[in-house]
Amino acid sequence: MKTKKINIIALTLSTLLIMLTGCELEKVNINPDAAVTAPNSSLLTSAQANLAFSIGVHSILTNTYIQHFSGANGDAAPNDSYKINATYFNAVWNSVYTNSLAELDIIKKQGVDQNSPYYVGIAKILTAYAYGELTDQFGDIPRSEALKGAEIKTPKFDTQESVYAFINQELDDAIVELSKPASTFKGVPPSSDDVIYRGNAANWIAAAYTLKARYALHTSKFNAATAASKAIDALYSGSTFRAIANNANDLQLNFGASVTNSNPYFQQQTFRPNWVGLGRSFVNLLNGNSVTDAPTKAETAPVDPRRAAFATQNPTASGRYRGAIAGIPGAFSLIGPFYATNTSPVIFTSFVEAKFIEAEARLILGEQAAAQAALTAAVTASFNKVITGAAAADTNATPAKRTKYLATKATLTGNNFDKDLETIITQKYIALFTNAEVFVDYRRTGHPALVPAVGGTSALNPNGLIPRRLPYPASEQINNPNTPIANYQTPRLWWDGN
Amino acid sequence: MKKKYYKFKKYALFAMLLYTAFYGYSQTTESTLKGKLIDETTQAPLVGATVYIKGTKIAVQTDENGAFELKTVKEFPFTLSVNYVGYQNKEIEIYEEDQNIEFKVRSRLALNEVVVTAIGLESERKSITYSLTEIKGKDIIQAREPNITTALSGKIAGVQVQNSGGSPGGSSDVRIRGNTSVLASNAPLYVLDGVPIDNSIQDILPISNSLSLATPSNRAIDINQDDIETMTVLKGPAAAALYGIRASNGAIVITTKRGSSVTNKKLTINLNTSLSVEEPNRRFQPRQTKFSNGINGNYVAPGLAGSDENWGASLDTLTYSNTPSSFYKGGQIVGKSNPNSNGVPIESFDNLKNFFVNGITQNHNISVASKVDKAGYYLSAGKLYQTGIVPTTDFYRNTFRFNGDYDVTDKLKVQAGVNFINSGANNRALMGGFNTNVLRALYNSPPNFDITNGLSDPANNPDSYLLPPTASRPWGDSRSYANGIGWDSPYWSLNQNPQKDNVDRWIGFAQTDYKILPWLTATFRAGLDNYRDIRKGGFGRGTSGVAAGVVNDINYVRKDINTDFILQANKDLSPDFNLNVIVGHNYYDSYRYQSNVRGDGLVVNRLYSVNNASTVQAFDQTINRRLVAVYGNAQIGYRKYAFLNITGRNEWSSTLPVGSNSFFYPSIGGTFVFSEAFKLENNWFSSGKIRGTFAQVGKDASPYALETYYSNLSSGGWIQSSVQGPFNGQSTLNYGSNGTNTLGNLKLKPETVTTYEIGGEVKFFKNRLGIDAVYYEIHSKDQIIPVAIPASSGSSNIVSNTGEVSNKGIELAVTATPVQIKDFSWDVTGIYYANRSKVEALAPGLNNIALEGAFVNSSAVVGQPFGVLYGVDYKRNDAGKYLIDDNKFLADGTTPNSNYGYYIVDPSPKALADPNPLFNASLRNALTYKWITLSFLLDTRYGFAIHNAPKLQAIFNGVAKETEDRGTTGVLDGVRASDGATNDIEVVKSQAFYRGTFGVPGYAVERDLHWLKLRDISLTFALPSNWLSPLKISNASLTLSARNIILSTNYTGSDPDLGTRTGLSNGLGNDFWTTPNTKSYGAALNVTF
Repeated sequence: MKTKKINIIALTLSTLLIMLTGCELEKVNINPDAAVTAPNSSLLTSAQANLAFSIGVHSILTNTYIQHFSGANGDAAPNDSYKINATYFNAVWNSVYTNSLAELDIIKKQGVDQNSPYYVGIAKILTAYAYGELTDQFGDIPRSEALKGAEIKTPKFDTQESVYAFINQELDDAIVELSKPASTFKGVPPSSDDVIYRGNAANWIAAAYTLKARYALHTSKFNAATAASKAIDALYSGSTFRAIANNANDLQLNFGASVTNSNPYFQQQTFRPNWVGLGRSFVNLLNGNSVTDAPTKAETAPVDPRRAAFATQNPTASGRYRGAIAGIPGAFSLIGPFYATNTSPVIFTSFVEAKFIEAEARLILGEQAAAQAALTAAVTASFNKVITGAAAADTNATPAKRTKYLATKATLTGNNFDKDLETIITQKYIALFTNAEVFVDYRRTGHPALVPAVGGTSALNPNGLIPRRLPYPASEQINNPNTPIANYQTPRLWWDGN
Repeated sequence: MKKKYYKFKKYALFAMLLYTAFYGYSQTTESTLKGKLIDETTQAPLVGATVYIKGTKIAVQTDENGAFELKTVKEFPFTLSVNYVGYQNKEIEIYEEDQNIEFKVRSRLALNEVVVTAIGLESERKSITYSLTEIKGKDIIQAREPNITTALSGKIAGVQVQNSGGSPGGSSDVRIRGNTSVLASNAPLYVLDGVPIDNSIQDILPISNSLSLATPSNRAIDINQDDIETMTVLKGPAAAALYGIRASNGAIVITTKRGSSVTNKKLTINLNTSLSVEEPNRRFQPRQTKFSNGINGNYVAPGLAGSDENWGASLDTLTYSNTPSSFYKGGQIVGKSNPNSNGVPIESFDNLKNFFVNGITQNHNISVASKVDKAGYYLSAGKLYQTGIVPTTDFYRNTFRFNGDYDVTDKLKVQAGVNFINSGANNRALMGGFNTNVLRALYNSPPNFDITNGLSDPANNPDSYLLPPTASRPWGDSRSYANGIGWDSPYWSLNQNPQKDNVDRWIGFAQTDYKILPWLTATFRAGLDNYRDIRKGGFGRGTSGVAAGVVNDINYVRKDINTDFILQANKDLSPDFNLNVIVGHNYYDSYRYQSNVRGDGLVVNRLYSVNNASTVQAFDQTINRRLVAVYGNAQIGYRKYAFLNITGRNEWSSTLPVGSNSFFYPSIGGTFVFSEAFKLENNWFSSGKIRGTFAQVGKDASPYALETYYSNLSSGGWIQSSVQGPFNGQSTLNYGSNGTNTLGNLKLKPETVTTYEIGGEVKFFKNRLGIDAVYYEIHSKDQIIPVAIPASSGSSNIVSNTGEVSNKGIELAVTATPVQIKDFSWDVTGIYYANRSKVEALAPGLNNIALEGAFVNSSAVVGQPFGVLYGVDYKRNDAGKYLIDDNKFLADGTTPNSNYGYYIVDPSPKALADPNPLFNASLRNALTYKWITLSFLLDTRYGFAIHNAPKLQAIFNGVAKETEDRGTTGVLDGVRASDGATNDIEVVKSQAFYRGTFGVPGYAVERDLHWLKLRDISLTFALPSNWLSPLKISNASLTLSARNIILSTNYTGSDPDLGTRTGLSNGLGNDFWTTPNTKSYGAALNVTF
């Protein structure tokens, strides 16, 4: 009896031991569907696609402020009068940092380890561009302590001035990396995984120079001549134009036909029809009118030849175009086919922009003829770029009408600086439709002379004027105690002066 | 000896029968029935109880030995009933051979009751040291809720049920004693026949989440109520220490019927059928009926900008015209003065009323049970079919169960059961915030637009929602007031966007018990829960927001294996001391896999197949988790009135790092039955006990939380848009797990939940009045939370051990039998419970985690109740009154202030209101007169807040009733900001004013809410056996019932007893476009042969 009992207990215990040891708990916790390492190629595609998508989405907010767009319904409506909820900036800020900058940082490190300078160079240009977009809208941002994940959970904010210094350094370094001969390095160079330039180093170098010119000119309020000279120095090596030299080489990302690869403006209009349309100021200019005219005013010749590419008719098939007055919901044209087709691009910077930078810089430097030449080149390039497909059939887009338009709208006086600056910046405002760069131009130059939104006064925007900056996203305010506390929409940025 | 006696009796009876037969039925034959009434648990005789023959007036009282003797002329078989205070009513059938019976009844309220506790063991109720409530299967059936989770509503103190609205098959969610975990699941564990089963609510993975928003089911819906013998709710970790981690939020232990417990006959057949009709139990959000769609006071024709708003013209200024319209039968709508007007005033339509239909629920069950010698079996088949109040929606469930038990020898007992379920829906209504939401589409349809298009069965007639094909839209256009730019017709969504799902599920268990020694038993139990859930969600071409059409295929498989090996010893150490020891080993492995495919761009419209899609994306996910544990439980009993219970469990979890993956947690509890110890029982005091428990339980992490993984790019914009990899054919990898940029953490350790509980039970007047009271505290700390870190760090979250949540509460249950006379009894059960939760701490520097929400978040905020509603509101004074801007001018003193006389926005988000109730209470009354029983349950929730998101949107879009005063002048309710005086500034209630409230979502938070409802009422006729016996029927009953027919509330929306669409998050108090709850009327018939 006693032996039997002991046997049973022994048997039980040994069974338990066998059951315990046979369970291989650590192996169970390995995710079979995800990796802990990633090649630079997949990281690069991911960072580029996200960056283009994010800045596209973001420009719906910034360019509502400067009246390219108008918010009419749902979450878009408060944007129209600057009563924006700071949580709306979460998505863009967060995804630029976590889905692009973090990946670009890994590419840079892996690129050095793997002796792949082109990956390093491309990552540096995109890093510079991403920080540029953030700082031009938010001002001081985390940079030197950013992207350090587990080690530094609450990065400090760097001054905009130091971020600008970093951007320039990053672009210079990138040019060095991309200038290395391909035969000298071991790593496989980027190719189709670079969904912008397919690994073409020369195109990247041109883009880097264009961006250097852009950020140089941003400081025009400090000393316009210095800023202009630096911009020209970036655009030209001696007499050779070294920035982006034609529409085909623009720094842009073309989206795809599949729904989850499609253009952000297309998605906006598809998923939330009629929430976002066009603003009065922009459509008035397309209609040949002044920004302050009533949106219902009949068009005045010459009408912008790009109108059918940039906007849809309102009412449908009426031949008419109109924008909504900021702060008042109303009928409006929608984003037209050039930007709002599923495969439309989001443009980072372009030949058109390079020529506008040159036009403004030459004007500042008193080189009137060169300024006019650059302006004509810019507007002509813009025509060539966007007037495609059905928009080319528009009666306002004929070569004769284009010439007429250039003569009427894009011709400088040669002796009235203020008027000529207004002409250049107004043309840039039209040509760079959807691009947040025009928000920078507005703050630098005050052109075009936009009328602030009806009911634009709020606790975050007490003077009711067009905001000078964006509030930090709610998520950063909550999670990072280093986030500056300020009255977010009125204080001016470092380069914005007073 | 005894056996012989029976035999003799049998012969005597046989002789008597012969005698009867010989002389014929004309002569009355008297038989004498002798028996004894005893307590099933204690075996003590029951004195002074009434034993009677059902359906007759023949009755007798038991004597001082519990014996009775009954003389009757009634034919066999008949039903003998007993009625005794404090005991359950019991009926047995008397056959010829049953002439000297031991009639065992179970105490209803007494402490001696036997209850099923953890790991399927039975314990005497008085020895239990923690809170536990048992519900009988018939009480579950009484609720007439297809979902057993919903059926718990109002039945148990401390158990709050949140359902997701009145969609057929909609999910329901239970919280026992509040939420303890910020982000992990707070749902209790469901245990079926000793085997944990899955009750998850499975939503669809990111690949299609933005579109597929049908309300999914919680998987406990697969359990057929008719199979349930008992359901025991073990509250809190104390009760569930033996089930381990998964029961840290309590456990719902279900035991299904066994042949040997259901019957003692060779064959018992039970047929049960019910039919009920459902309709919305309360009106929808009130909407305005005076203005057309449009904007700025102008009607806007379908498809033009502004037509999706309801800020149009007053209906009486509009007429039809001679221009035909496919949207309006009377012709295009124009203003009265329009030259095109035909002068016919436009009609007004009540779309809300026209839309809902009667839902029908049918439930049919058949079961066969048998007990022969040492073997018993139970076999059942059930069929449930439910159609919804939203046309075309439904839910079905077909169940089969076989349970067998066999005493192989005196020492060896085996039992096994298998359950097959096929459930799902042919169509579920789309919910959520997108243009495909059926109810939003309905609610926003303006009174000038007839969604039915004048048709009698619009849901099934394409002419109500589909316009003829055009060159640009060959698939046909959406017939809605906004024609594709806003919400589609609700009928479009129901027909063009079908959402199907189908589950095949097997649940089985097998158990062997072997009595090694008289005091030592070994038990081995193995269980399997395995199902596949196949879903298909289609979106037809031309759907608003999904122009090219989409198909989502979801294949989800889950397999849970659970084994227990248990040794149980029970020995009297001395006449005074009893020792009961359990030692066990548990193994649990859970495997989940889903493979989802999304096809975009349907080539042939309405062919919802990925073969028919222009582009296809796929996604898969595996989640594996394994737990191994050894556990023990020792109970020392002293003289059957003092008990000490100690448990310990050591768990090994696969989800924690090696080194921290083994953790131990204990519990200790004591019970003292003072009434027995001090012999206090007398005529008015029946029994009393006090008890106390301290318990801990550890919790592990989610699988794969240790490493940082790369995942496919998935990045969202600010309105619904997103970019996902692969991108244009190139692979994308993004740093951070699951597309959430979450960093893993190799230093995780288990969470800890600690509970203290003290309670007591007292019974009076021969157990006719019982009071059970509990006070508890639950503290959970070191929670494993993906803590948000600033995005500038490069990641969004890092999984960390942090945060502490506390819950404190009281629970009170009173049971009483105020009246108990021969033919009439009245039973009352009242419960009351109140829980106070508090988020004590989150991570350092982190004070707020959003749990769920639209505009206003239900959040975990340090220092606030769990799930507090958090967001932006207008400024209020301490009394909660709005402050009114009484500055006529801006700061410069000259510019007029456009906000003069209006509310003042407070731009910084704040904790606004507590969605947790001050208390819940319910009252069940059951009145039995002879064979008729009337039972009803009153249920109430008091003192909570809801964010009424539909109202916020409805105000913005000019749909809400309160916007009907648009354009009028009035004084807003509030006080002047400068001096606190009552506001008297007249302002225009303009479109701009109402639209402005949208940016201030706190405006739609409603506070101090309450509801009181008649949750169920039923009238049961148990037909007298003298009617039935000629038909060879032993029992038959007819029940007429109604559910939720009375609702009283101060909420301005629909039924405030609403959860969320899915119940997936821990958020509370957000009303967001769910299907209205239903009320129902039905009848059920139950026949036993």
